[in-house]
Amino acid sequence: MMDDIARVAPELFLLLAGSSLLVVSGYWKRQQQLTAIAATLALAMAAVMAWMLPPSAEPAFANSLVHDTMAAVLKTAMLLAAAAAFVYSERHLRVHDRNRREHYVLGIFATLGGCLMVSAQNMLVMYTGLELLSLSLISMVAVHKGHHIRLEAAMKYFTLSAMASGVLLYGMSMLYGASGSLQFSQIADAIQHSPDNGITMLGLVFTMAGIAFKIGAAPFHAWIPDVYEGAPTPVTLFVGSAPKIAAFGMAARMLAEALPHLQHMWVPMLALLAGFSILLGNLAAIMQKDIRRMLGYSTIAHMGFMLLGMMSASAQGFAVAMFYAVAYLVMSTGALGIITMLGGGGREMGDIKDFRGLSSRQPLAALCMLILLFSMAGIPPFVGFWAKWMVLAEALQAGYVKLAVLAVAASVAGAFYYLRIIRMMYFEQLPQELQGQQSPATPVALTLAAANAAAALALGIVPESVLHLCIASFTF
Amino acid sequence: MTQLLASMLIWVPIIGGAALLALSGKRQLAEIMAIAIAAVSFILSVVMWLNFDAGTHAMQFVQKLPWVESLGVNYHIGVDGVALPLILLTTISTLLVTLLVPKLLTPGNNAACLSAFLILEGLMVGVFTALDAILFYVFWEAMLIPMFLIIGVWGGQARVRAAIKFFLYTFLGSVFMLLALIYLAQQAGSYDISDFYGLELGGAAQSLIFIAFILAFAVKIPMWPVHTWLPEAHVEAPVGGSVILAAIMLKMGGYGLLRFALPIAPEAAASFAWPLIILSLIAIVYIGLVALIQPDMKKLIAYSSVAHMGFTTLGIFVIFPITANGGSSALQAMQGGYFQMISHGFISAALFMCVGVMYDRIHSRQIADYGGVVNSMPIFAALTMLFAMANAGLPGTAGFVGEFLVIIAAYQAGFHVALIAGLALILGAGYTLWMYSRVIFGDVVKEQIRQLADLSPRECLALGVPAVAVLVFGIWPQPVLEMANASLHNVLRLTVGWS
Repeated sequence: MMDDIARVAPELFLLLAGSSLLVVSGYWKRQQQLTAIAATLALAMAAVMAWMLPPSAEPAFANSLVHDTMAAVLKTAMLLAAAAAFVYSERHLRVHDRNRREHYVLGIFATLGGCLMVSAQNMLVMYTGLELLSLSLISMVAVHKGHHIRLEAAMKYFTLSAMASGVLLYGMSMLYGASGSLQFSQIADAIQHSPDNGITMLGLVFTMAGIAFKIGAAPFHAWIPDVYEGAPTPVTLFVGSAPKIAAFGMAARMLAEALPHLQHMWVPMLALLAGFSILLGNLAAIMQKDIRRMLGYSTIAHMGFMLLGMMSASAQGFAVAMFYAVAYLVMSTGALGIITMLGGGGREMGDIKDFRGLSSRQPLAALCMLILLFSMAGIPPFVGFWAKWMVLAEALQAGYVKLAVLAVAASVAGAFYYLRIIRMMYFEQLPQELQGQQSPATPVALTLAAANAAAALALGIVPESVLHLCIASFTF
Repeated sequence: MTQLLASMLIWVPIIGGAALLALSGKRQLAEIMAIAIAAVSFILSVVMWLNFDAGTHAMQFVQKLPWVESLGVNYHIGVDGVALPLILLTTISTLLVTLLVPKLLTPGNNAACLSAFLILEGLMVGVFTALDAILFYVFWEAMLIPMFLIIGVWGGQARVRAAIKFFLYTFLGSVFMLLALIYLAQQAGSYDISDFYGLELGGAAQSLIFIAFILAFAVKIPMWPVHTWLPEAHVEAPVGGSVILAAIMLKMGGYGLLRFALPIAPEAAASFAWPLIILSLIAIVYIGLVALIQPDMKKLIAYSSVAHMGFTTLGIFVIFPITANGGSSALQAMQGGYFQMISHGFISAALFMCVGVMYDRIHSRQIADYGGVVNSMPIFAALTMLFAMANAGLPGTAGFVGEFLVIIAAYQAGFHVALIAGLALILGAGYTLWMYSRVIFGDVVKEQIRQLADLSPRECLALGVPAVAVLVFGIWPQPVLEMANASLHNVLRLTVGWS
C-alpha cells in the first residue's frame, strides 16, 4: 500500500496543493500574486517529484496506474509546461482579469487530470483523468468574464468536448463488452484471442474518434481554431501546451498497450487522420489573420505529424511520436507564451500585424519567437526539424511514401505562415503609435522565454538527451 | 591538431558570430572583431590547404563522433578535393564581405548583420565538409535562416517578397531531398554518405531519388527554369548578401551534384543527362539574351550568373554522352565545370562588389543613371574592366579556363552542343562589355558623377584580392585543378565506371 502511494506522489501532491490553494487563495485578496507564485511552485515541485521518482513497470492500486519511463517523462514535461504557462500569463491575468485565482486552481486540476491520463493502465482511470482535464479546461475558458466570443468559445468547447467524451466512452464500453476487462493488458490478451470481433472493431472506431477529437486531428478539429482565438490568451496558452501531451499519452497507452493487435485497422485510420490534419492545418493556417487562430491550425498540422510517427506501430514509431509531442510542447508553450507575455500590457497581441517591428521594440522576445517559429517550420538546427524528420522516416519505413511526400510538401506551405510572422517582426517598421511604449513583459517571463528558445535550440543540437528516454519508454 | 581543422572552420565563425551579437551597438568594435574572426577562419583554411594531400581522393581531416546514437547519426566530417577549393572560396569571400560590408551597411545594428554573415560562413563550410547525410541536411537548411534575414532585414525596397521567395523556393527544393536521404539510409543501414555509393537501387527508385536531388540542387545552382528566385534575391540583397549568394551558395548546387546526385544515382543521371544538357544550354543562351536587356546592373549580373552556372551543369552532365560516344574528355568536362564554379565565385562576387561601390556613392543600380565614371574613378574603372573581361571569358582570365575546357570537351558529345555553348562567349562579351561601356565610358551624365571619390584603401583591398585571383587562375589554373583532380576522377569512377 505504501508502495502504491509512493508511486502516485506527484499526483497526490498536486491534489493537496490544488485543494489547499482553492481555500487559502480566498484569503489572499490583497496579495494575489501569492496565488500565482504558490501555484507555479506547486507545479514545479510536482515536476521535480515526477522526475525524481524512480520509474518502474510495476503497476499500482490493483493495476490501475503505473509510473513507468513514459509516464515520468510526460508528467515532467507537462508539469513544467503548465508551470511555464503560469509564469508567462501572470502579468496578463493581473492586468486583464479578476477571476484569476480560479484560473490557477483549475490549471492545477487540469494538469492533475493529464497526469492521470498518461499513467493510466485502465480505461476507467483514463476516462476519469480525461474528464478532469476537459472540465477544468472548459471552466478555464468560461470563467474569464469578458467578450461574448469567450462564452461562444466555451460553449463550443463544452458541447463538442462532451460529445467526444461520450463517443469515447461508448467505444470504451464496447471494448469492455468484447473483452470483459477494463485493464489495458487484459484487453490486449482478449483481443489477441478473438481478433475479428465485430464489437471490438466498432469499439475501436469510436475510441479512435474520441482520441482524434482530444488530440485535435482533422476531421475532428473544428473546436481548435475557435477555442484558440476565442479564449483569453492565457487560457489558449494553457490549452495549447500540457493537454496535448496528455492526449498523446492517451493515444499511446490505448493503441500500444490495449489495442496492439488491431494495428492492421488503426494504422490506416491514423494515416487518414494524419493526412487530413497535415493538409488542412497547413493550408488553412495560411489565410489566418489572427495569430492565435493561425497557431490553432498549425497545431492541427503538428498533431498530424505526430500521428505519422505512430503509423509504423513499432516501438521506435511510438518513441519518435513521443519525441514529437515533447518537442511540440516546447515550441507551442514558448510561442503562445510569448504572445501572452506581450499581451500583458493591456493590448492583446491578436492580429498578426501587431507583431510589426517587434524586433526593435522587444529584441529578445522577437529573437526567441524567431527561433521557436523556425523550429515549428522544421528548419534545422532546431528541435522541430528532428521531430519532423524522425516521423517522416517512420512513415517511409511503414511504406507510406505518398503520405510522406504530401507531408513535406504541406510543410513547405506551412513554412510560409511562420515566415509571415518573422517578416512582421523583423522586416516591417514599428508603427508610430507603438513607439516608445513600455515593455509589457516581466523580467521573469522574459527570462523564461529565453530559456524556452534555448531549449528548442539545445534539443536540436543534442536531441539524444530526450530521445533516449522516449526510446526507453516503449519496449515491446 | 590538423585533424580538428575542419571542425574549427565550422565552429570558429559560428561561435564567434553568435558572440558578436553581444556587441550590438558598438559599431567599431563589432567590425574589428568580425574581421578578426573572418581572418582567423581564412588562415585556418590556408593551413588546411597546406596540409592537404592532393594525390588522393580519400577524405582528409576526418572526424567521426557519435551524435544521435539512437538513430545512427554521426558528426562525421572530412574534406576532399571537391570540397577544399570551395572552402577556401568561402573563407575568402566572407573575409572580403566583412571588409566591405560595414561601409555599405545602412545605419543600424551592424553587429547583427556581421554575425549573420559569420554564422553563414560556418554553416557553408559545414555543407562542404559533412559526410553524414543528416549532418549535411542540417547545415544545408540552417543556411537559409541567416541568408533569409540578411535579405529581409538589410535588403532593398522589395526585400520582403524577395526574401520569402528565396526561402520558400529553396526550402521546397530541398525537402524532397530529405525524403531521398531517409530512403537511402534505410536501404544502406547508415547515414554515411559513402555508404550510399554503390547501393543496388531499382530503376524507379533511382529515378525518384535523382529527381529529388536534382530539384534541390537545380534550384540552388540555379538551372533554367527554376532560377526565378535568383534575380530577385540578388537585386534586393545587400551587397554582402549578393556576394555570398553568387560566390558560394550557387556553388552548393554543383557540389551537391558531384557529391550526391551523380555517384548515388548514376544510371538515372545518365538517362536524364540529355534533358539536363538541354536545360543547361537554354540557361547559357536564353538567359544570356535576357541579361542583355536588363536595365539594372545587379539584375544583369544575376542573370549572367545563371548563364555562367549553365557551364557548370553542362560540364557535369555532358560526361554521360561523352562516355557513351567512347570519348576520353569526360574528366576535362568535369574539370571545366568545376573550375567554372571557382572562377565564377571570384568574378561575380567582384562584379557585385563593384556595383556595391557605385551604389554606395550614387544610390542607384540603374545603368541609365551612370556614364563617364572613368573620369572620376580611374582605379575603379580599371579593376571593373578586368572583371568585365573575365566575365566575358577573355583568355588570360579565370573566366576563360572553365568555359574553354567545357566547350572543348563538349565536342565529343556532339558538335552542336559545343557550338551552342560557344555562343555564350559572344553573348557574355555582349552584355558585360555593353554594360561596362555605358556605365564607365561616355559623357559624364551628371554633376554627381564628376565628384565621385575613387576607391578607398579598404575597397581597393576588397576588389584587389579577387582581381589577383582572376588573373592568377587565368594564367595558371593548375593549383585548383590539381586539388580537385583526384576527387573528380573518383566521381567519374563512381558515376561512369572509370577505372
